[in-house]
Amino acid sequence: MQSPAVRSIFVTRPEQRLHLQRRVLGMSRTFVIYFLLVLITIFSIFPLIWILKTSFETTQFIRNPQIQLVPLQFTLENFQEVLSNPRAMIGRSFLNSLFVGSVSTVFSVFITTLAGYALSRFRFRGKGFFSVYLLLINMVPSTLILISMFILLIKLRLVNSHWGLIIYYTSIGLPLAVWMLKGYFDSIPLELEEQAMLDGASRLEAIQHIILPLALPGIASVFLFLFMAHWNEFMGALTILQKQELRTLPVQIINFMGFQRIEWGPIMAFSVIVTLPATLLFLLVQRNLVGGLTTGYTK
Amino acid sequence: MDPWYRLRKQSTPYLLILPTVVALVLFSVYPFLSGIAYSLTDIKFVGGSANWIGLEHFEYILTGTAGTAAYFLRAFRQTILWTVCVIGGQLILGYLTALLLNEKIAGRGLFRTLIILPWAVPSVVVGLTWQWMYDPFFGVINYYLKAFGLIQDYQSWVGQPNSTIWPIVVVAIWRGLPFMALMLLSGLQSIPQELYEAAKVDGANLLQRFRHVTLPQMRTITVVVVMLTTMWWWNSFDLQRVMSPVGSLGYNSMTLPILAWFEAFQWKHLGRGAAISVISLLVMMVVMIGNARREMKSVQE
Repeated sequence: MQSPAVRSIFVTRPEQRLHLQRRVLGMSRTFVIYFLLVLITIFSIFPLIWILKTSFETTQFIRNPQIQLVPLQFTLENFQEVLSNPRAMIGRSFLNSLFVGSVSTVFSVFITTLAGYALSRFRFRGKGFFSVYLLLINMVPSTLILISMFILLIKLRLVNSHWGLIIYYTSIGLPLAVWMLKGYFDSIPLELEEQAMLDGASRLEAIQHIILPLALPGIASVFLFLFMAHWNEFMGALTILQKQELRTLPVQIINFMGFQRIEWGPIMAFSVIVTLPATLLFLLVQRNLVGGLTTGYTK
Repeated sequence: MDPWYRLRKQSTPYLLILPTVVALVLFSVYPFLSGIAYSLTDIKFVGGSANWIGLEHFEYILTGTAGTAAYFLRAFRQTILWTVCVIGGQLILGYLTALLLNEKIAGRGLFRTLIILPWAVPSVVVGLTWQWMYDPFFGVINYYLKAFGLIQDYQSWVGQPNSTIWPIVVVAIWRGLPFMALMLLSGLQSIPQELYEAAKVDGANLLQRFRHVTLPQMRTITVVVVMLTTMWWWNSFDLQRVMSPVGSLGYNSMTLPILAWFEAFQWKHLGRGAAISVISLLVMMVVMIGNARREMKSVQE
């Protein structure tokens, strides 16, 4: 609404008044949009700010009834505590996570790239069934898969082995990866390939020189998406790896917490260390990631 | 044409999907089917004998009154409540966020990045962080709720046997908002701009344009996203596990995946844990197939 003052100063003719009304309306609309966006953004990032704030705060001020949004006494002692405490075993579990995450991701991405290409470019008998299976397998509780996977891994003597966890990760990551990759391949025009093949290139050459370079950003973001999922996975790692020296980061942080009276400073410092790699990767690929997810599932 | 050439050409797609199919059969189809089979046996712990007992577990879980069976019904109700509220909350907030991010305003790239950041945080860290924020003595949530006069005294929100599921529902909505909002946003962006122009020419106001242009155009993607996230959150485990009382059983906010996991791995009763998962799967299947049917019908009409 206009204030009377505004009206008396600026508005003389009716058409001018309409114009101004529209502008004020537009401005208030923009204001509402920003206001709501800021509220949602605060909701979204406040917990992240809280992790950081607590991790750089001294114990004295963490246990302070008066809450401050920034550390009152900036300190690195929480990080020193986590990195030096032998019970945290942070270096070891970091390497474990890195190993399990990379191997299972490389394997999954390699085989699903082939399958995603086939789903995108060929018609073949069983394609519909295959696609539906990949979507509906999401319905199966991971506890059910984990129970029989656990029995299978015991028989193969792969419980308490990183290879057992790698097998489990491969099985849970495949369906989504195939869908995303199919989406990326779908977004590359078929004509490019056909043109190359008309010009005398074999299909393999066409793939190698034209399709792969174009699909590479997509493949890279599937790679990072899967790596993030494996890096963050909890239930399987908790169940399959029961020896301390094999544990991955998400299990180790819970384990570290269980040793003592809960000290939130070191735990939040640990959280920062676990979260940082995945978050950086995420910021790197977020744009591609989203495109792949949506095209894969809706086309 | 050379028959060999033709055979080779026809077999290409199969060769390409072969590795994935082999991996799926070994590590997804086989565990799935054998999981169902184990739910019909009395296998307790690995290496123990697995004797066929038919539907005994199912009978025990559905009609029993002691032990796990006593918690099943409550866990089942909690799972329904949990899924409906989490998906409902994510959908409402996700739509709002997507609509806002779809506006052409300065700085929306920054807002978008900040809003989807929670996606990258490991779920264990999410659980721990919110547990710390809900802390009954020094928690920031208690502090602000009291400061704004919304509560009289500090409360312990989570981690007690009688804690309700609502505080964890809030966490799950927070956790799932990025995915929901982004999927809906990409749906909004694929709506042809001409449709809005035409509606404007016809004199439709903002609300009418939303009702008659946006919603029908968004139908497919909304259904797909809701189905997918329903399956995920129905089976979610990490948040509830981290934010619940350690090692205690039968607490108020327990859901089916937690019950199944505890039964199988904590109380060493794999067969019965599998049976709980199978029941949970069957319920989900009925819901999903019913939904898919209705969608098919409405598309045909």
